[in-house]
Amino acid sequence: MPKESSGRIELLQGTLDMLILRTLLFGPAHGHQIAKHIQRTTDDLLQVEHGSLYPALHRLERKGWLAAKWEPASKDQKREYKYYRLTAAGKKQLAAEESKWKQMASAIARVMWPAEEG
Amino acid sequence: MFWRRRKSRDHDFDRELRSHLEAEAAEQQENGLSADDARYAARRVLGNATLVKENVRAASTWIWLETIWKDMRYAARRLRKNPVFTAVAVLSLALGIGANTAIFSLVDTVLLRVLPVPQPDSLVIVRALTRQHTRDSFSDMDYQWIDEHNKVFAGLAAFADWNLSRDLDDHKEKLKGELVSGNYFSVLGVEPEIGRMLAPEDDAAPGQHPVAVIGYAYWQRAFGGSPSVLGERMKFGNNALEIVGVVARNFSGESAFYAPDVWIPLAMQPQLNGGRSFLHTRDVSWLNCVGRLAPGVSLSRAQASMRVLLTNLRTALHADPQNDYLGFIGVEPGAGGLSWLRDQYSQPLWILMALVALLLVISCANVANLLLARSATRSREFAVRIAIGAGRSRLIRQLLTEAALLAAIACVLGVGIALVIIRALLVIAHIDSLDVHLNLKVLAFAIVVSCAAALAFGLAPAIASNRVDPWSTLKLGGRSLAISLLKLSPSRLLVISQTAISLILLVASGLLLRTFLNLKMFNPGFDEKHVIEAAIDTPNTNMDIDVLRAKLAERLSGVGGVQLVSFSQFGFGEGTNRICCIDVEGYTPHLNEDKNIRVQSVSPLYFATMDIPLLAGRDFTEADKERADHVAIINETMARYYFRDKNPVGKRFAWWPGKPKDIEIIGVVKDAKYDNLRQRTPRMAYLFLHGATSAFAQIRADATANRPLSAVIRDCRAAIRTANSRLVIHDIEPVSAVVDRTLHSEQLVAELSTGFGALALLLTCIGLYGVLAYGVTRRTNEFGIRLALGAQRRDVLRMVMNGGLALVMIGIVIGLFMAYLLSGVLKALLYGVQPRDPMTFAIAACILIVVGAAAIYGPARRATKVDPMVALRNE
Repeated sequence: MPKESSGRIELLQGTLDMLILRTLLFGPAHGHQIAKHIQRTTDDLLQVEHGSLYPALHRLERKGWLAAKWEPASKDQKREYKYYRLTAAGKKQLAAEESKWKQMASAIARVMWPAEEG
Repeated sequence: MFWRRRKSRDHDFDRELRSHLEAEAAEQQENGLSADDARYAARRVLGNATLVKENVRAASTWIWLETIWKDMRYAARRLRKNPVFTAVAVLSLALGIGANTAIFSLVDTVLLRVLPVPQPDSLVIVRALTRQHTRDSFSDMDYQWIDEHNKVFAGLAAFADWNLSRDLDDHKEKLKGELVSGNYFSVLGVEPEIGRMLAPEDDAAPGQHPVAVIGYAYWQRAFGGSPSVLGERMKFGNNALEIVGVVARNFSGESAFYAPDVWIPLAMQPQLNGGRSFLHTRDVSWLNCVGRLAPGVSLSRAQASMRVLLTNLRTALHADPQNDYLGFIGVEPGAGGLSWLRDQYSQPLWILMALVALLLVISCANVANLLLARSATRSREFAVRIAIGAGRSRLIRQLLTEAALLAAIACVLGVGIALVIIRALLVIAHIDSLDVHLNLKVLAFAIVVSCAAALAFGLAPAIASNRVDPWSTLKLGGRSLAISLLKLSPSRLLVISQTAISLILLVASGLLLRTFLNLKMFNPGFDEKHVIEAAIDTPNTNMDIDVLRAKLAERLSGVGGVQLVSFSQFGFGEGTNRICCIDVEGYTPHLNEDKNIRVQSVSPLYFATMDIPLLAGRDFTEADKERADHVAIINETMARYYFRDKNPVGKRFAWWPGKPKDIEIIGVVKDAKYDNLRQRTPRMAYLFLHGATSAFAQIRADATANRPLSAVIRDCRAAIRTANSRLVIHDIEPVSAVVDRTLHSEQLVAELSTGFGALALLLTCIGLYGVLAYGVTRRTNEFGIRLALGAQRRDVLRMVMNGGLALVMIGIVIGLFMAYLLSGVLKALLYGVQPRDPMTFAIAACILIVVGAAAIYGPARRATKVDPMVALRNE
């Protein structure tokens, strides 16, 4: 059931993983930072549901694409966060998903706007 | 354990969520909210924390284990809540599993045993077979020749059981002995525990090697496991044998059910037999052979080479190929060693295995039925749970878990039942020597069987539950499913198949029981009830054996109740001598006929003692002793074979063509069995008994109320002792007991299959009762209406009875048909009854109808007891 609020778009299935991996390419981050980053870079168009963010993080960690570690926050040393970091396997996975996504996007584009092509 | 790890995982995630909330709150505060508002806002953004947690946990590996654990606890709770259901289900399953495990453990020990020696797969049993393919033994000369001239065995060893009595200071100790060729231990690859094994040098010259090795168990028992046993001498009559070694602990002989206490070189045979030698002759067949295939030689190649070898052997040893006792040399896989028990029981055991498998099917059907009936009553529960979002797969998994739990409990109980059955079996089968125990293989079997059973009976209700449509079920108050189930009727199908299988089991047990009774009632041709048989060994004494025997007869005749005493060379079931190629006056043999006859030596009065009627001529008398080698009494079969309807008395024959025909037939007796009851009576000649150090005494005695046979036996034992203290009594018992012993496998199979048949009947009745009782409960309203509208109770009774009996009849018809197709499998086991014996089939069907009707009657009566008012008010 699509939500009818403020023009937000539901994430396509499977794309969240790719977005998380891409976000972590900038360096380690904790769950909140990842969610905020995705939200901000898309001008709040993509809202990451926490109900799916954390399961996704744990899933990616179990698959070995992410590694996690509890560390104190950089600005507030008292607080500890669970920081996720991209592994080598994760980088590879990101490349694979990216190329798959590109193919898909161009395929969809060709169907949707045939005239604009070529 | 996984739940502990789960806890630390949960804890970790709680911490992560908390840190997330704090970060969010901090951000909201930066946006200008108060601390409290910020916290609330953070919570709002996060949404349902528990759901998030659940989702994270669902992504965890442990989740399926956790649900299984939950399902288990739920199932256990449900089983506890329905103790009657649980008890019936577990018990019928446990009986099925127990019976299967017990029979399998027997199969495992008897049929699947492997000798504890290196590379057992290259061992072969080399058998002497007669022209009729019956089993025989090798003579020493044949064994030596085969051992020397074959190119397929790395080694060929010979062995023969030999009962011994060891002289101790004040008494004699009976020992199980085995005479073995010098290469026996090296062929098998058996190592000594201490000392050394026998070697070919110990078996070189007859009588020159007074050495022995002893078994581990005997070493422990008689010598307390002391190493100083080496060099000690054991006295057997005039022989003193030096112990040179103890056999490795795990080796107890090549024969599964004969564990020798002592092994002695073949070369010592004449000494142990009072000077009568079996060595370097073809006249006595007494050796069994075990060989090890040479590297690269297959069983079939060895088998083929034996055919050529036998031809060469006959040429070399001047044997007449037409009349050689040795018809064939068989080569069989020998990894399991030699076992008369395996030969005797292999077919019956596989049949029993098949019967118990059928029994298990019935138990499974029963439990499936119970679960089915219950899942019908649970349809409302399932509908509710599906409606509030339970996955169907989860429901099915839960049903299967319940089935698995039932099976697990039944498995434990079943193993216990198996232990009881095994113990009973060994007593029934009189094979106490058999070391049957639950090993890992048997336990694994029980577990596999239980799992298969759980799947079998768990699946039916699971599939049925999958059909639950929450909407209509809830609307109809949970009754629609039940009714449609009965219409679809998997439970009825189950009852029908149960009935059919029961009928097959009943037919099988009926046929086997009749076989046993036929044999039991069978007249062996002598009076087994009033004759006591004693196996007596006469050690070397200076006394003349015939004089000693006369004294023995005198003493025994003095025992109260004893009427007649006689002696014979062989007792019942001990075999006989075989003599080839007799030449009979006035008879021209065909080219290919079997010229072997059987020979037994008996004393005067033997036929009177055994109550074998004399048909013509006369019995032996003491006067015949003068010309003992020239008189014979023959049996009816032999008389008819050689003389047709002419009178054989006064005719003569020779042992060998060309010899003077100087053996006169002085009498003809009626046929009697001598080995077992099933055999066809062979041509048999009785000779006058003289000499022979070991013999059997037959004692004809009348048992009276205050003097039972056991008392007579006790007195006879004492009388034998007083005759000569050096006489060794091996066995003394009524001949009927000896005859019964030859029927043990038949008895075992008959009793077990009858037991299983009864069990099948019981389980089927429970199934019938359950299904009908359930049907009656569901139809209470209908019966109420019928009764209210004026139906007689009799009509209701008849209606329910007819419904139930229809199921039984369909089952019986199917069962009869299947039994008709299958009963041929039993043919080899049967005696005096045909596999498709109409009588047995009819009786089985009748039993099933009567017992089935009894099971149906209960629920049917309950249907008539329905109070119309109560039933209708219920609506």
